[in-house]
Amino acid sequence: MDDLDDLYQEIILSHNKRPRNEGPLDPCDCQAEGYNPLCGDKIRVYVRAPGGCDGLIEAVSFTGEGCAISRASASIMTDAVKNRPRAEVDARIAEALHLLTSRDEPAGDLMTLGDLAALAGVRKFPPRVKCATLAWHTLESALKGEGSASTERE
Amino acid sequence: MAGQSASVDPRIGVESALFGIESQLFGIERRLIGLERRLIGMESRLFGMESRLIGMESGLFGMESRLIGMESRLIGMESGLIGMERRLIGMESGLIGMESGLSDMESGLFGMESGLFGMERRLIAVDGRLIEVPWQWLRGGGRLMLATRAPGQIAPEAPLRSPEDGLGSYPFPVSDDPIRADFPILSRTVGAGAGKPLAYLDNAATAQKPRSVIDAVTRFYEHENANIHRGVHYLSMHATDAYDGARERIARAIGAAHPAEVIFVRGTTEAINLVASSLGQRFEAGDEIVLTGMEHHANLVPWQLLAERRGLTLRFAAVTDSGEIDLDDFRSQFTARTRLAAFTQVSNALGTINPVAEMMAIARERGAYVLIDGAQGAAHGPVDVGALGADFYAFSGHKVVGPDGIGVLWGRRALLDSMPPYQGGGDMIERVTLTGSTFRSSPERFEAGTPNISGAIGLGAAFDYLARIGWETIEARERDLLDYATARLTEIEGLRILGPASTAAKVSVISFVMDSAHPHDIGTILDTEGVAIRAGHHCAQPLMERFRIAGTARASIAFYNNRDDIDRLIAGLHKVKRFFG
Repeated sequence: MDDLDDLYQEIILSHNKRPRNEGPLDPCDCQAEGYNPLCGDKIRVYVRAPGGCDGLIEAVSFTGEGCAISRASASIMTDAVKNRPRAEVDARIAEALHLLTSRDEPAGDLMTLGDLAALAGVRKFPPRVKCATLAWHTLESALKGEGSASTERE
Repeated sequence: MAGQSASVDPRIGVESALFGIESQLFGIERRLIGLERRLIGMESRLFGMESRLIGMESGLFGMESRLIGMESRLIGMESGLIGMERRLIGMESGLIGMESGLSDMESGLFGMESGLFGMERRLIAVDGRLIEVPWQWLRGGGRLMLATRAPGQIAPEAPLRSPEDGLGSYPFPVSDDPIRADFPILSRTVGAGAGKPLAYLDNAATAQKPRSVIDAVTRFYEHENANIHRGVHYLSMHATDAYDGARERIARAIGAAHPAEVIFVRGTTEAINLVASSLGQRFEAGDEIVLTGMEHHANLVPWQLLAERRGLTLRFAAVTDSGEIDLDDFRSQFTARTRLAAFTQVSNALGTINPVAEMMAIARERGAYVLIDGAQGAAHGPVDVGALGADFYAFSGHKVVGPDGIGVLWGRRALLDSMPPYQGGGDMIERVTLTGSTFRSSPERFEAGTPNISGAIGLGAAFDYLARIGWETIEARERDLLDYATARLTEIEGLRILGPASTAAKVSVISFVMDSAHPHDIGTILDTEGVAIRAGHHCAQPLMERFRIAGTARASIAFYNNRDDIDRLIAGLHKVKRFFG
């Protein structure tokens, strides 16, 4: 029960119910589709970076169907990376993927992670980790101009 | 001349006479010298013979000493053998001693056992005070509760005290349901801490195994393990008999005309790949294969690969909104180029029972080969390949309470024998040279290499078990639970069941979606309640796309489930609604 509460904290449930930045971006400078073949979930991530995707990432949004974990993760992600230079965005992506997939306890200060920290509970549910990483992999693909991402192609 | 001689000086006569004597003597001397030389030659020959004799003598002496050496070694070996014999005799008597010791212990144990039995009887009888096990208290399952009547109240109608006042309650592996008791895993708990009792509702993914199947596999490895069709030794012959025997029992159970029609494969997936690779070699560019929109990826991807290799066209029969095959559309997919139709007997994702007889008739009219995917069908009812009338029927052992990694491809014998091999290797060949080989007939032709022997034996045991329970019982139990679960699920607001509305048109597989929660979230929350279901696309992505969903939650019921499992599913779904509502 405690684990379940960890997984579905208020933060996750609220992001799932009222996701931030859901819907396509127009204009949009780069985008990618992400796919989790294990469950069939699809997500599309849109990036606005008028100076190019190597420069300042002004905004990120997403569309798609998914479980509470994947939607909350996408919603948290869009807030966590907007208005940041590309290098910082890359660092956040690395940080998030490490938090979600590493066997180590979350490093140091969960507070600095903000809502991202809420995702740490997923580590106790190994079949669900890929639900949480999907949005981040998709953003990574969009920024690299790859067009598509899959949780089974890492 | 004589006159002349008379006048010669007499000394000359003497001289010549002496000369004559002298030359005679000289001749004698020469003969003597010759004799002497011969003597010397004889002497040296004798000397040579003598030294040869001496050589032979020393050779004989050497042989003699070698013989003496061998003799003493033989004597040594003889005494060694005698020593070993004595030790063996000693060991034998030791063993006899141990044996009698064991037999003493056995009778001692037997004595203790009868003593215990006597004590048990006495305990049961104690002074007429009753020890009763009320049946209804056992129904809770898992604990044996012993109750007594209050002292002095020994009449049968006197009220029973509760187990707490009586002799107490003891964990006891019994169930009020003898079928559930056959499945050891059903009595375990799952999840963190003490866990929750397992409510296993993922039977369409894989079925649980009864004790008799587990024992058959264990017995094989403990007592019978050897390779088959090779050894001339006892175990190999025994293993071969067990393997072939399993094939015969399965052939009988599914109504095959001959055991050679039953090919052991890894499962349905391999069975279909076998047909696609082997029979598929007959198909030519432009030929067509008819499938349906509800196929498992196992009955779709092998045909896609074949179509790519040989330039074939795949055509798909539409699925209606109620998750059933549109028969008119199925009929319209056949053309003069149709070579094969492959379809599932029962949808793994929705539970729909397809009208196989009608579909068979349509395909036969067009002269197409027919493969039926029986992965789900074989788990919910008896299979009769003769009555089905197809060319191929494929199913997996693990879905029919057998082991995993074993399955069956049934095919018509004449057709199988006309098909090229699927994989090459040992056991499938007749004669091999460096440049080519000839092949055995079915089933060996399609069973290259050492097969899954224990799996086949386990699958034979699974069919024996299902026959013992009886398909009537199995179907009645599943139908009761399907109707009960469908009624309870329908009561949940915001929950929608996909597939046929009537439970008569489906097996005990229930696929559903909820407004408030994604199938994955449903699955995770149910899991924390000990309820195991499947969430996702069920390896039928085209069918999911047909219904414009990413996936469903699927509860699939087997004959060893009970209403308590269903009640816990329903309770879990109410928890899902509380979380996400």
